[in-house]
Amino acid sequence: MTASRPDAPIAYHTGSRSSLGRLYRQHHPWLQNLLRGRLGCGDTAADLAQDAFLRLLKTPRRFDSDEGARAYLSRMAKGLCVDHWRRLDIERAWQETLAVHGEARLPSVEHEQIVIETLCEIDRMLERLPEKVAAAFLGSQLQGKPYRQIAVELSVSERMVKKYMAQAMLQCALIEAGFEASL
Amino acid sequence: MGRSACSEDTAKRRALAEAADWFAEWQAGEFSPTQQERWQAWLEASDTHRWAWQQVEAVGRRFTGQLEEPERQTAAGVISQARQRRRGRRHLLGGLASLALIAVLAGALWQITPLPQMAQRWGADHRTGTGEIARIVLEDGTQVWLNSASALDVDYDDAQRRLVLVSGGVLVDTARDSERPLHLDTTQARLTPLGTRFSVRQRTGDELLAVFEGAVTLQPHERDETAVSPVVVQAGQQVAYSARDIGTPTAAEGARAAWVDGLLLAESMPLDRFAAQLDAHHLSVIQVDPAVADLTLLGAYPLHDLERTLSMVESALPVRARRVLPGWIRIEPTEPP
Repeated sequence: MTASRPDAPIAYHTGSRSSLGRLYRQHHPWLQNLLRGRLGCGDTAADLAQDAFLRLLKTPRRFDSDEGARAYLSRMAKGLCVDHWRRLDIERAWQETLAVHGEARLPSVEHEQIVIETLCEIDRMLERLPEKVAAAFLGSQLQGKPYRQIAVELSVSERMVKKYMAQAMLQCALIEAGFEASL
Repeated sequence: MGRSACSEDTAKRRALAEAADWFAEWQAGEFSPTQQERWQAWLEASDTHRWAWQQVEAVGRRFTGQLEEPERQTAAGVISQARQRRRGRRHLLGGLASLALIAVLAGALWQITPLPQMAQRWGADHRTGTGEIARIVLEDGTQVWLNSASALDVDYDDAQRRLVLVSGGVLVDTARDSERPLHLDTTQARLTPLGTRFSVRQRTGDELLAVFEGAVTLQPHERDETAVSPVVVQAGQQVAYSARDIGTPTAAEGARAAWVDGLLLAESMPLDRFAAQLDAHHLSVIQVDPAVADLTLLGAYPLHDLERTLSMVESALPVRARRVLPGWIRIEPTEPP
């Protein structure tokens, strides 16, 4: 695939283990450094760096050059950090909410993990939406509030709530259909 | 990508937008038999419509599929809380000292976007809602800040780096790449920055370019380049232009870049208009007592820090911000008349 000529441009195909291995040796060190700098935690950085290469194994990609690989990996690293912080935020908010409401823990750890994963996914889909739009969608979809109640809470008209709902659904549907990547 | 693939894409996006509208109608809980029929007719009109509706249903399942009833009630609050924390972290502001330096005017920074542009915005690669400011780092390290209600397409390939401002305004801090030139195309012109930091904003009929570092070559789309040489706008200059004409450059106002830092700039802005802009950025309702609505404000306020903004307003004007209820703030005269 790439070993044809010694002077051929360096290329990687991450579906092949040997090629992925080469990519790993070449790019893992700086990636982990970058992540350590961002996260301020060596262990998490090591985990996320592994995640990045695992993803490349699962969903193979071709890179025509080291620069291309570097650009892609650094974008991916950013995404992984964002997701990592998101999960921390959600977990913390979840614990605090349970504490405030004095609610019992969920029946099982597994179920709690599923719930947190679902919340992360919802949060990811709504991330780009303005505050009131997201609030309207959450109120309607999760809490089953009627538009009238949402309108009062956000002090906007019911017509506006309907617009918010369409806007939020369109954003989610574009992500669902793969037209847009969630953040 | 071929032309047919593009138009199929467009059809799908349009169908998703229509499905989202139907969904919003449906959730209002007032689906009359007539509407029911119209919806049915829409659904059966094409495969693309049915596909779009399936996407909507799939989103619905994502929201509730895995959650039991009591968890759903908690979930909304948990997500709001996480969003709030993230917003807090995002705000870029330093100390108050930096605010004083840029307490200058910024004109009508937040303008109303006409509907056709609003529709275009949805299809763009990056976009912001009203009151939202986004920072985007592109693969080459170029940084772009999208102003409120703006949209940008990014089209990078091996030969060039092309950005398209679909609507609104951007501030661009370019990264060096000697191989691939960077262009920013707007509805009126092509801008070619030369190692630079600049902003451009669409207005009704024309656009305004301000250059803060380096220089930018300006080529209006309909200007005859054989007759006149291209105009280079230098750092510290700003210029208004249309597809045909270029105005006379004047000194750039640094404040045009200020929204990047999440500032609300007020130059002789009436308190009620100020509060309306603040209201658009926060979940809290912010009301103004009519008795003080006409008082005017001058200065730069941290848009994302409501508490600080309110206390700055309190020290600038004879008003106080009263918390009527959690999430409901009323700005009133200090001493009732």
